[in-house]
Amino acid sequence: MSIFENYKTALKSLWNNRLRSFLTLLGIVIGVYAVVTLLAAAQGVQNQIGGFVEDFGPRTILVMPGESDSSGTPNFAAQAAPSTLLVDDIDYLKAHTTLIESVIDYAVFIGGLATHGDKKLTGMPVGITPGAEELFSIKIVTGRNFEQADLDKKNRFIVLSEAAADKLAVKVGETMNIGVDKFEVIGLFKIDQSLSISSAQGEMFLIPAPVANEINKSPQVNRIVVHSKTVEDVDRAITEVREALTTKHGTTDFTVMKPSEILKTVDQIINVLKYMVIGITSISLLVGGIGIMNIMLVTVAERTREIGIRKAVGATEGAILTQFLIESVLLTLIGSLIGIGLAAITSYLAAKFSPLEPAITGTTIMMAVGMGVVAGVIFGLLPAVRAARKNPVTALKYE
Amino acid sequence: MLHLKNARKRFTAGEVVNALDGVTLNITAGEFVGIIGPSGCGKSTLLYTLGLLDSVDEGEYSIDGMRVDEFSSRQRALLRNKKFGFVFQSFNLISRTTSFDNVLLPLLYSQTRGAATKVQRALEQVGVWNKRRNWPNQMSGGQQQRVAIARALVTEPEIILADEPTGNLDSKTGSEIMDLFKKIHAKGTTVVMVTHNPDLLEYATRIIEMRDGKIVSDKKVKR
Repeated sequence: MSIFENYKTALKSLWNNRLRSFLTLLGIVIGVYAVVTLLAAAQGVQNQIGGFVEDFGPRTILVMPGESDSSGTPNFAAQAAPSTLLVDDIDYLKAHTTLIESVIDYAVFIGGLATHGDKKLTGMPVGITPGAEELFSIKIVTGRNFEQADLDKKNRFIVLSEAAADKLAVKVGETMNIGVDKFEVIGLFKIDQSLSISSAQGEMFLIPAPVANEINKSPQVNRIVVHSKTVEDVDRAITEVREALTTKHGTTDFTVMKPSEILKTVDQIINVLKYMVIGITSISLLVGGIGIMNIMLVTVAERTREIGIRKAVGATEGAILTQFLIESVLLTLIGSLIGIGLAAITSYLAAKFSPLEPAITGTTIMMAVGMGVVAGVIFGLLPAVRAARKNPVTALKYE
Repeated sequence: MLHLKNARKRFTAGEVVNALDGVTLNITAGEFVGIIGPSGCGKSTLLYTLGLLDSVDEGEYSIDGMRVDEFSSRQRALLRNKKFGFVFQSFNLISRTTSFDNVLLPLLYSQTRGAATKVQRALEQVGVWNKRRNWPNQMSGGQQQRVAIARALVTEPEIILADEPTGNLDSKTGSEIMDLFKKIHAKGTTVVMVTHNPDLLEYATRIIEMRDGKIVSDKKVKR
């Protein structure tokens, strides 16, 4: 029997038992839906972070407080503690390094509720130097950004995201508060989507870094951004910065890294998550597969007489095996396709109504279809072998 | 054409039953063989053995000089498709499948070209072309058996093996079916028919009587 005829026969048989077929493939639908949706979400996060890091130039070097562990992973717990980096570290770096550019940017995190009239907003106020906006991939859409003069004069200016401005109903030229401190709004910016995950839905406020130090009443800084003079020198510049700061601090209580290393770390974490997703959802595919085996065994028993008839008219054991195997593979294949379709709809809706940007890749689709087909073969094999081995005479007499 | 030598077949169903107890039989092309005997005498086992659906425990079976008792399951299936057409008492059509598709089935396994034309010819030959789109449960017993005969004929086999083909039909329909077998035989096809009804053997050219797995009489009849 040709493969086409086998598919036709299998489809007809599945159609004749529509409800049963549908209920059977639900297990596979749910399993594939779960694996594709979760992998798409993980891939989306990976893409977004990748895009964010790509915004940094290849010469960018980042200094963060807290010592990294032996694998190079930054110490994220140290981010919550008082920073180990100080404003005078910047002057020290300028004086004790040769491979980095003279302009060094930095960012200072501050606390405080943003208010304007009776409107309040818990956002993310950050003191920055003009170049440090590279850290946050922002784009000014109204008004202007800080200039060096604003920093030198410690002007109490504020630049905030459009989203934050909307919520506070504040416009360029108006005054608003961070905590008890008053600021004049000089510009509004749009945040690259890639950042929106890490900055409380893009509700971010930027003020001149020296003002932030003044408010904090502390010379601590949370990020230092330096650039190597050439791309080739970036790794040697990292070593130079590390050595200089170690000498000054007397210990390595900081992390120096390229943004691409952050990506590598995040990539590693997301990849582990992906394997976990595949592992966990494989269990639901296993359950779905057992359901298929169960139903296929029932089908084979119900169609014993048909198997006898087919053998009587010349079907070989191979032909019967193929027929039932195709039926189970078709079940799982249809289940996989429905699961992928539902996952695509969910991902589309998630992209539209949430900050997530799920991405269903070709590899994910191929893997989902592959898992479905493999489940069909594995769980369909036993019933198909049983069908193929039936004695034709006994099968013909089956009531 | 079919040569069975000292064939033995035992079943164990509580007690050991000798379904074939040293049967030796030659069937030549063009015969209409009627096999008669009481229930459980082994006549159906003999028919299924001849048609390669069953195999012997001991003895030899040759078709056209080939030792088919040594064939693999696959070789037997392929030869069965080519050489034999089966007609059963309970019609054995596949349910929820049209007459056309039921008759088409043997041709799908042999991957024959021009299958649709052959199916049409077979259904016309037995007079049920107008029922080609009907499922088995939408036809009378006589019509179903005609479709089953069309399925047996569609591969143009040399031998038709029929197991009580009128057993589930009223006498009028039964004699119509027997007329059909007469016509098939008249065109040169060998027919081997198992029955327990001696009245059906009026067309047989040879009558074999079985009892307890043995052939107790084997007579040629002049027609």
